[in-house]
Amino acid sequence: MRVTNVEDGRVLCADVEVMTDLVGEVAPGDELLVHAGVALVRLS
Amino acid sequence: MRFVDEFRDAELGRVLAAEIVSTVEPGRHYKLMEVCGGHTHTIYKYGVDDLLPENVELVHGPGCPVCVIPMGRVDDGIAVAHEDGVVFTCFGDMMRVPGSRGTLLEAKAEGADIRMVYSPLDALRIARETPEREVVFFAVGFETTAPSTALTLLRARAEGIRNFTVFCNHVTIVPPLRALLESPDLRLDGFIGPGHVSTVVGARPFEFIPADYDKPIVISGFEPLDLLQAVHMILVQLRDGRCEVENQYKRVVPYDGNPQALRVLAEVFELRPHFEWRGLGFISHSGLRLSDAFASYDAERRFAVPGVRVADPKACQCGEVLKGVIRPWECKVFGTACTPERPIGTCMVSSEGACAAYYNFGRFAREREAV
Repeated sequence: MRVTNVEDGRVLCADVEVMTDLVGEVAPGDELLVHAGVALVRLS
Repeated sequence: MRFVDEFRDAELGRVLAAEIVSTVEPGRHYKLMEVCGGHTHTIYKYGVDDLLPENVELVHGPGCPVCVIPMGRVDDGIAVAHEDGVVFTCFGDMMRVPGSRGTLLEAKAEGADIRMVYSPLDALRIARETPEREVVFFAVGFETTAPSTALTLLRARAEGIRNFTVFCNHVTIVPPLRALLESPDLRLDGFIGPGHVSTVVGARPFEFIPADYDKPIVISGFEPLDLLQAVHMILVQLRDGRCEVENQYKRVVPYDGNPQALRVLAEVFELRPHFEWRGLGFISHSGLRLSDAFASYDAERRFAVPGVRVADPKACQCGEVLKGVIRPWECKVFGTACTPERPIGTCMVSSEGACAAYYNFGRFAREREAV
């Protein structure tokens, strides 16, 4: 999934909140492998 | 789409299929098991097995998290859902898994407040928005999904949310693999290793397969070319007389996994002494429960969970499908009494279940072939 917005610590991918604790800081445009609402791997 | 289209190239698929044909030894039968429901889905959706020579057989192991949940745990979940004041939440697939007296979907129709969520974070949001209710999340899945539950519990504790609990049914992948390898029912030549579980645990936990059982395993991605390449890598190992853990999915899977995820899992969960698997029975140290530090978030400690044990329906052969002993269409009720619309067994429920995947993508092709 692609990160679309980061605001007040909340990361949104296509309007879905995703926990990014396991991949560190992300920015809009980053691509993540997301499973059950948590990003497991940063793809880009 | 990046990371997807380049792994669905039909011409490259044909090249890999030809490589596989030139690698196998004529007259030898190869039986390879994939142990991830995502792989099963891809194999049937894209007809990967149609590209393999007849003497290379793919069988499907216990890799679909919904499929391995025994009926008793569904009954337990329904009992909790019927408790006063409870909002019971679960993934969509779980709502259709039959227990001995129906499904969560049927319990919802009878009046229990059962809601489908996409992640435990959704369940936590419901708890935050309805502090007068007890919100329970039915957690299922392997090490891929467990970090999501763990991070949600850490968030619940950090926010001081007290009306949220988890009915934990998370399982681990290594113990059932060892059980399968010890089974006299099954002769396997190699494994296609689970890609997403390995993003968390890495490839290292699978080293016991070549070391103790002399079988190769190749961790694979989820696109058709990933799977064809993984099959080829296994066959090359067998041809060369090697048995190793290899990682075809290097673009995603680090050999040592995700250390942060492993730390979170160790903080929130502990191993149960044993856990029941559908078709495989009780397996030691194969299930997770919440650690004492998270006892107040444990639905099994907060509610009177009956701890039901129920035998599978006699007609259902999910256990044999999950062990790779039979293929989906060899089950007595496949496609007749058991369909995705009215499943008898768990393997017909989830899109990652071997029976549902085969029913949805492969059944009619096989019927044509038979004609």
